[in-house]
Amino acid sequence: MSEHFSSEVIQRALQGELPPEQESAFHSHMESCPACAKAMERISGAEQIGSEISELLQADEIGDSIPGRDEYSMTDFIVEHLEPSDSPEALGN
Amino acid sequence: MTITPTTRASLLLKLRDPSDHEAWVEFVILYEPVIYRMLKKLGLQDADALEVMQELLLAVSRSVDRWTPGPQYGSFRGWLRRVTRNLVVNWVRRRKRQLVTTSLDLDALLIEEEIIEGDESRQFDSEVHRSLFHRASDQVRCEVQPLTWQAFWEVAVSGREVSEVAARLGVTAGAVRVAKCRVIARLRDAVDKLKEAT
Repeated sequence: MSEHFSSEVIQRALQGELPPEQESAFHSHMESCPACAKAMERISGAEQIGSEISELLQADEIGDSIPGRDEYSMTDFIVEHLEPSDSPEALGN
Repeated sequence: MTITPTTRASLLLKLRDPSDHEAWVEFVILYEPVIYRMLKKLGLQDADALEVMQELLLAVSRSVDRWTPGPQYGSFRGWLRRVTRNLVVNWVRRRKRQLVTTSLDLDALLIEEEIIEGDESRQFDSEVHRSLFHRASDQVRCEVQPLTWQAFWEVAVSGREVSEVAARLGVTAGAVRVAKCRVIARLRDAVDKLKEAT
């Protein structure tokens, strides 16, 4: 395909809304057309936050998982946080 | 743990708006890692950080009944966010001044109206931003094909070359580029929605 994809088609492709045959052509085009690849980067937001993504999602020395948190369910720890406290002024006591 | 009707009723009693239980779930998912990471950066060991984190979250839950609907207080979620931010930032400041030792006067730290600025505040906001992206990535990862996620991760997070990732995954370079942008677009949408919801 020699023509460029419109912003609308790129947007639909990013949302996974292209039919399979068009999806394949879209991939091929993004391999050979720097202009459309750049447009896709811009429309997706990759151009703006691409460098930030790595810093945000990369694990650091502290890590992002809280020890022991995987051992019980979300409901359990919500209940735990909202259980009555020892304070006489606490709501629910 | 079995959730009994009594437990559910007890839970709801502690919320200002019973219909916002879902908001609490989102709130804790988002802010627990933020508080934990800030405490760890202060040098607290895991056990101490977990203990303080639970006390801080409990203090926030106790303060729910102080929220009054009205334009001056904003939304329930927005108010919760401000209280948590002020509570944690004040705690961190006191800790740095060695004013906090073994006992925590959490109520004294609940300064709802004070606008806090400074390094700690910026650090809190930065950690919230990070937490939002992690929460969003958990959601988006479940929504896309494993291969799509892997292509995104290797290029956008691990910093590998598109051609290298394409060869490794057995797909075209175009497919890798699309996968990366598709995930980033979804991440941005998810983060925006989480911001609105919290």
